[in-house]
Amino acid sequence: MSPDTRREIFLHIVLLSVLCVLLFPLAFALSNSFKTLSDAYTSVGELIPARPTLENYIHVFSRLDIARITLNTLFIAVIAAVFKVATSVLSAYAFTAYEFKGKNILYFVIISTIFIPFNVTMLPNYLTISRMRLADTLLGVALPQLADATGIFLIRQSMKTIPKSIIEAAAMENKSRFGILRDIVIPLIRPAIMSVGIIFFINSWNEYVWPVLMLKSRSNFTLSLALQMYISSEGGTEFTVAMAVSVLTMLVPLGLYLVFQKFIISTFTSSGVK
Amino acid sequence: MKSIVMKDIRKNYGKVEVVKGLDITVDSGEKLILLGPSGCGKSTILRMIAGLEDITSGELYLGGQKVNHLRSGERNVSMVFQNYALFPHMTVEDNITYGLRINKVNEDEISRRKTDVMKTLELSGLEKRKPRELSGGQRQRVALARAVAKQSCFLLLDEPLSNLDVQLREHARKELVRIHEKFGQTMVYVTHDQVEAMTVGDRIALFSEGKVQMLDTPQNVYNCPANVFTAKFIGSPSCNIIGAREKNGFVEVGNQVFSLSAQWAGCLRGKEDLCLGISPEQIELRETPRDNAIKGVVRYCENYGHKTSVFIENGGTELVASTEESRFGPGDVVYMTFPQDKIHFFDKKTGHNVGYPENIARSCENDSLYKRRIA
Amino acid sequence: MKIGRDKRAFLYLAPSLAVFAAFMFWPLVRTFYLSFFSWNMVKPVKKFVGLANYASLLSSSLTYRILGNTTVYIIILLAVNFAAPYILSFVLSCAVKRGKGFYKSAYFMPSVVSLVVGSIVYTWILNPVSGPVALLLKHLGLSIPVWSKTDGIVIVVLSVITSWKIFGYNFIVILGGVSGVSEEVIEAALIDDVPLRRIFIDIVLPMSSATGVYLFVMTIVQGLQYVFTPIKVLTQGGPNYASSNLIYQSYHELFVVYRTGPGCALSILTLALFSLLLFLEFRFFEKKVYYES
Repeated sequence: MSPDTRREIFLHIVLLSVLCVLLFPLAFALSNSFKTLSDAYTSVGELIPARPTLENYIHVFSRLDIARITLNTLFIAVIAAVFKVATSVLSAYAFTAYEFKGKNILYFVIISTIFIPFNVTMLPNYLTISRMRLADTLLGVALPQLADATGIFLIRQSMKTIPKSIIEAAAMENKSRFGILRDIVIPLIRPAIMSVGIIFFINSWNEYVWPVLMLKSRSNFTLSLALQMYISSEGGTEFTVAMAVSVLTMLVPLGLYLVFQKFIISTFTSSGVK
Repeated sequence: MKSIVMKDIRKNYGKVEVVKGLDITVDSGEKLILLGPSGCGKSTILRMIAGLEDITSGELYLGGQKVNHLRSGERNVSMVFQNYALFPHMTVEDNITYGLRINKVNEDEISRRKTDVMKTLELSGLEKRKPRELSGGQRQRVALARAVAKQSCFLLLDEPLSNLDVQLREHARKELVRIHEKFGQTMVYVTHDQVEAMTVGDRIALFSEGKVQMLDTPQNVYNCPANVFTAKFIGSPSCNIIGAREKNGFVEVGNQVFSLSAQWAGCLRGKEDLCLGISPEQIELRETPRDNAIKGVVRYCENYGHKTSVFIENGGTELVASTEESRFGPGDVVYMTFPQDKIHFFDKKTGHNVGYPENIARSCENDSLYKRRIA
Repeated sequence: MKIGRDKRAFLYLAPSLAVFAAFMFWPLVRTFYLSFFSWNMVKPVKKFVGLANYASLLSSSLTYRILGNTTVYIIILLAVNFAAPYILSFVLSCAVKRGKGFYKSAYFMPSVVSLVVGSIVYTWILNPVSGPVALLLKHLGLSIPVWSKTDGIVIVVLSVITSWKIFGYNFIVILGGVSGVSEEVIEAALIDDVPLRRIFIDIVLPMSSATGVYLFVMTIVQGLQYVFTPIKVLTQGGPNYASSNLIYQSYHELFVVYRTGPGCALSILTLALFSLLLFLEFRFFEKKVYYES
């Protein structure tokens, strides 16, 4: 065995250990969601339950209005994703295809908002949403999430990769600028738009801050809030049920990720390079 | 001493074999050119010598030592990359001296070598520049300077001039030869440019599809191509290859015949399916009929200024001839003669050169120039 | 791609500008405004107090405790989510031949999972009595403290939970920068027998510094915000503010004890810190030419 091969094997061991640490919590949640509470205590090390049970899931579906909770989460995530993708595409196009006074400053200002932490906007947004009589509504949770510049940034990055000659060829055929956006730009960067949309959806699905601020009544709870009911720092008493809710919560984002991982990863790979 | 020996070297990517059994010995101090179209495996071979690519099977010896399992850094080779691979954040002098510092060459020696190579390569004064502040030609010279400053026995170059424009390339080519004369490393040089190959190389290894088509001196590769591929690859416009039949000392070309010398007739006796090869610049063109000439009609001319390529049709075959005269035009009737000592015959099926009559063959076998240089 | 020069661009920008105005810029102004008042969110009258909120923040030892905690969070988050992925991505792109795609996509998986899930799962994994880590350590004769009640360790655990989520994301971003370093350049160094460690420090770090600086800043900015979730879910800043950071503390002031003045002042303080980081990043881009293509 050459030293290079030996080194590579060693590095794989390191990389795989990191992988185990990262994936263990997912496996742990999945495994315990199929254990009875007493099994969970007595056979902690057992990743594949010796006596698998569905009782936690049955409990979730009978005691918790999980369908409603899931729909609430879905509603907010869809609104946030669709609206953000639409506005991001339009704005990114304005910043790419048009020349206007103050363009660079405006772009800089908008992109800088990525650096504004949510605690700065938290109180005024809460007050605004209350004044709009949207406190404790799903829409009230979605609205503050819409002011997000990452989409504008990511989609503009991808629009910039379109060769100028393609746009010029279309312009020579007397296409309107909106027509160029609709018929040429959007189809060309569809993968980027799709992955940005999925990223928005997943982020909103996992959102915790705005739901916790805005929502009071249980009928409006999202998955994050439902899960919180099972938590205390010692772990709570319905631990295995909590694991079942956890599994249900991560099912959708993980599924989406596994299907679209190629696009999502390539979108993030390019995000660091400005 | 500083030879490179490859014994049955192979390279597979998965199931695809890109280098198919290579046996080449590069003599100490020799300049070997790996020439071939893109994708023929020539760069892979260079990278295997450099240790940047694993060798699937076979043995590689550098200076007599088997190096298959040595890391790149342990092989004492230096390399000039196609895109130069300069460290963009380092100044010119840091680029040249970085490797030496890492390898703990003493400071006096480093500064001596630096001054020396920078002077030799006309880089003096650019010490503090960053690569992006240099022109393409200067970058190329920095890359060469870095490789030379290492003073390794083996200098590997991967299409080092392909990013330069034509005028610069000519200058850089001469410079490379000069550098080699000064430092005398064993040099392996990858290129797809036949002019570079002919002018720089002591010997040329011409590749196609992972196999050596011909390994010989530039003169021999040009004068006595080992096969159809070689004949067509070398020369511009490329060598005419036409189906031909030998019959009783005559060769049929298209719908006409010309007679062969007695030596050729003897050499070709019993060989049925042949191709005739003749370089465009060896065809003699006349407007009037003459003995043993083949008649054709000019279809099209390309004027290069110093020469003209004349495309001639003859009974369904098209030939191209180069001439210094530009008096031919489309529709003209011309008469071509093929000098007997400039034609080649290839086996139609295998593409191999069938050989030459003895009086011609001698000139191919003895390339005294190469022998003198290597000895 | 540029085809026009006119104000119609604002038609495309209008929807974004509207939401940004309503939910980003106006709130920013309002928080700044409210930081000069004493209020409790319900009283009809706000009392103008000038810089008193800031003065009391700067004179309170609690603020310094929070700043200290925030610093600890930043250090841990940077170590785990900046330094480690940087090195690991170098290892993956330069020294490992197989499995690049696999590691990339597998590492990213936790990044799509909710931090509330992460928090609840980790409380069990790290349960001091019956969690798997405690049992494993027991075999070795060790034990974990009741971390949620222990100063110092509580920050470590909350950072670990947050890191679990952001590690994969950061890994992918920095890998994008590191693999942008041309292979030829690395090979040129390998031929000169430069050890991998030096290749990383002398070549890869400077050549990927644009992505590096971006990630450095984003790790702090995003990391501190992400930590909010496990803090809120698991410790509510306790024990005795030992796990609170700037972001959580301003939430605490605003929505737990309803003191909008100090809450807003803390938020502005956070913003000032982040702006400084942003400023540093832009300075870096201006000054240093970066080498990524």
